[in-house]
Amino acid sequence: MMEIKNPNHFFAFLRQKGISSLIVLIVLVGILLLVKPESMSLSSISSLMDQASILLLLASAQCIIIIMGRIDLANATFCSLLTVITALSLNSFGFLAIPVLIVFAIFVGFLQSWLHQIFQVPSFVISLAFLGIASGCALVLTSASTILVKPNVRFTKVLFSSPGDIPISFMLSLFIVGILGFLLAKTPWGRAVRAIGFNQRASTYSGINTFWVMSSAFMVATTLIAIASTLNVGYLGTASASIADSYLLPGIAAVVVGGTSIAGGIGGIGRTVWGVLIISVLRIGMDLLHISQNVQPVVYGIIIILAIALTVDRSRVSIVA
Amino acid sequence: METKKTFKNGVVTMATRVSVNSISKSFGVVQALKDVSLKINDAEVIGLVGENGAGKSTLLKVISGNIRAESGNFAIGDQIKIFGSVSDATNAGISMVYQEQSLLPNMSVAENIFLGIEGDAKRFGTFSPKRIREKAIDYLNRVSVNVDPKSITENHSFGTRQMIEIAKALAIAEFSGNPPILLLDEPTSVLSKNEIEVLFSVIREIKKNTSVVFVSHRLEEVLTISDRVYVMRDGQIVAEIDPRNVSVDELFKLMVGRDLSKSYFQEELTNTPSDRKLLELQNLGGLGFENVVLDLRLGEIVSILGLQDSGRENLGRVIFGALPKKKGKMFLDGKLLAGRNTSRSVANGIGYVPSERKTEGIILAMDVGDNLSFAHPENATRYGILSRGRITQLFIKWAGQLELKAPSSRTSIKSLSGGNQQKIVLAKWLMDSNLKLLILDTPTRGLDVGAKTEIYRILRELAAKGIGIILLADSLEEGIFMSHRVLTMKDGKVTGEFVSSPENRPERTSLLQGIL
Repeated sequence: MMEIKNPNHFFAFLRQKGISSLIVLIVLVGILLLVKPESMSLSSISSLMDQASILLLLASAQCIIIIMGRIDLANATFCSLLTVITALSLNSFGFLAIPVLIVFAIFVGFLQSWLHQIFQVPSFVISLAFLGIASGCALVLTSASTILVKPNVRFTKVLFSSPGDIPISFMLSLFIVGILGFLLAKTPWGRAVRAIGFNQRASTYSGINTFWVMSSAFMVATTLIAIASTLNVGYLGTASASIADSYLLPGIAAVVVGGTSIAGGIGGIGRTVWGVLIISVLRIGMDLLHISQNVQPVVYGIIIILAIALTVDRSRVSIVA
Repeated sequence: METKKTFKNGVVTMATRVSVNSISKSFGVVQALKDVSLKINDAEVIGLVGENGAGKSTLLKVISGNIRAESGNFAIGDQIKIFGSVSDATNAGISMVYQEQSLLPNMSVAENIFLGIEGDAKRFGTFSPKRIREKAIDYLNRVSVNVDPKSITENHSFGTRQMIEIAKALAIAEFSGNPPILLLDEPTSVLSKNEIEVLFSVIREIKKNTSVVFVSHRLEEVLTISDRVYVMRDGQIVAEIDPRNVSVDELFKLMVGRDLSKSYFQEELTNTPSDRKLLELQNLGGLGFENVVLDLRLGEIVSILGLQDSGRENLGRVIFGALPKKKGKMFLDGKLLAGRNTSRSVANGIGYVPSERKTEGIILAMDVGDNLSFAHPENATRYGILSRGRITQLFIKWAGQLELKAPSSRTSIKSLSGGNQQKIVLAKWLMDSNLKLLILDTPTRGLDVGAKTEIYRILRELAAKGIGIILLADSLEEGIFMSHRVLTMKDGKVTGEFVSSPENRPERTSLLQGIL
């Protein structure tokens, strides 16, 4: 009889290959089918994808930061701020506002990275400060009320029309995220990003320009957040100061459930896509089971802790910088 | 002053205090200790010598309970013990004085000495300042240090802190109620000559009731201070000698396991450097060193010798651009080097092999192919995309050239031996056709003799191709035999320059004068 020396090896194998999250997804869908067989209709899958597209972009933005062994707590709040700015500037300047907004987002990403590296402040501190600044700015800009986007600059229909049942918004975000995933997995730049997550010092000693690699990763992340905020405006047609704030926990949960290590280095966009699907199915499941919106953050919090506890490699003594 | 000495075996005799029986320990594929046995007698100084990687530090860590051995045990009196933790060892009276100091800098001297062993210095759960002061003064006197126990530790000199560290180790060991055994891991490596003399007189003084295990690279010192010397090589004890009957040269031969033969340092491959200047340092200054002037010619190997705080490590880092320079200028091939950016240095043809192979040289979690192509990914890409095929080609090419023992480019680099890991670090730079200068910080540290010889061969061949090499040598011998020129550094300054050729090698003693 074959003896399994260490049961952890089996899980380690699944984890390494990023398969465990796929199994979780299948199990979740299975449970949902058992409890509510009607829930897996085409229309409900389509609405799942509508919701998933913004989460996918935000989680991917978080993922690239987490792979570097950092974390971005401002992720969702910054998306709220950008959503507000997009709505306001769409009303004033029309569609020209969107490229300008993306440039602004890239600048903020660089600023975040620059402050983090020049002053050697842990990324969670810097991003916490950015969270505060972003949420304050959003409140000031909106005077704490809801902004309606004028009908002539709405693009809801285009984004959420569904040729062949899959909404364009989801295909668009999957496409963008797919390119990012490819860059991360297959280019020297992506390898450098992962290497910084494993060991920044060794990366510097191999001639990697860690300042620029990290800054570019931050800028890519904020670009994704800007695209997410554009989709958000398109999706809702309105904006308010804390409109996307609630994406922070599900975003981080999607990354870690997908199998990206919170300590950095291990992980990728592909896994995050699975993580996003898991969180989305969970969300729909909770709605179907009439679990209150108020309780859902508790669930995400528990999921993050569980996922980290199950996947963390304790032999690598490392903390999020 | 009242001192309590409640030793269980009150009388001090030359009886065996602890015998270490058949200890073995391996890390992955590396067998660090093989069946090591030794005896530590009462009131005795034992010298422990061996090359880097011979297993001395691992042995000390096993004896001090920092590492659990895979097999073997300790006999203390009539008890057989296995140490599973540091407190097991301290309960037996064994205490280690750490190489990198373990004192808390912002606490007082007295608090440091009694950290964790407050014992009867406490009254109603809080410190009794008077008692702790008296006890601290007692311990400080025993190590001949005259400082106020209330003073803050970081305000004292390095040498004083080392003594406080010994006082602390004594206090911890004696807290167990047993006669103490102190383990000193290279205590002299960062001390000045005077401080070393003080340390030796302290060791002779505490020897009355204490056993000391003394590890040092400096064979002269070991022979001076020890009553008995064990020689380690490749994880085994190969000899036990009486220091009165053995010379430094004989001890060195035992350590290396052969005569300092020409083949060990691959001397037959020695090249003649060109006359063309490759690297020029003009009054270079940086963190921990200043005013370094150096002309390095094409194909020349210059080794730099110095202690930990000599500034040579930072000199290497500044030339590579990993640390900012503060003063002076650097020219490579007549072109001004801006420094401060490793990626630009690499583009200019500079390579760097750091001393901490596992944490700085390679990325342990990545595979062989990624590590190999990390510094020059242009060799591994097709249209800007990493190509498995090209990585495999690179691997096959360099595995052949450097006799790399690794099954494939996908193998985890973690599973390779230290020597093979170091070859990958070297190959990472060698694949650059534009490579001009290679800076190596103790590249042979922790490698076995065979791997060292191979690294030496690679360095000789590089020099023959015209690449300039700056070698921060791991030992005097390496510095002497591997280079065309030797520089000595001390306290951030270059103190000597010696020409070295197979016919005319610099003297150990004159080099030591520049280092100590």
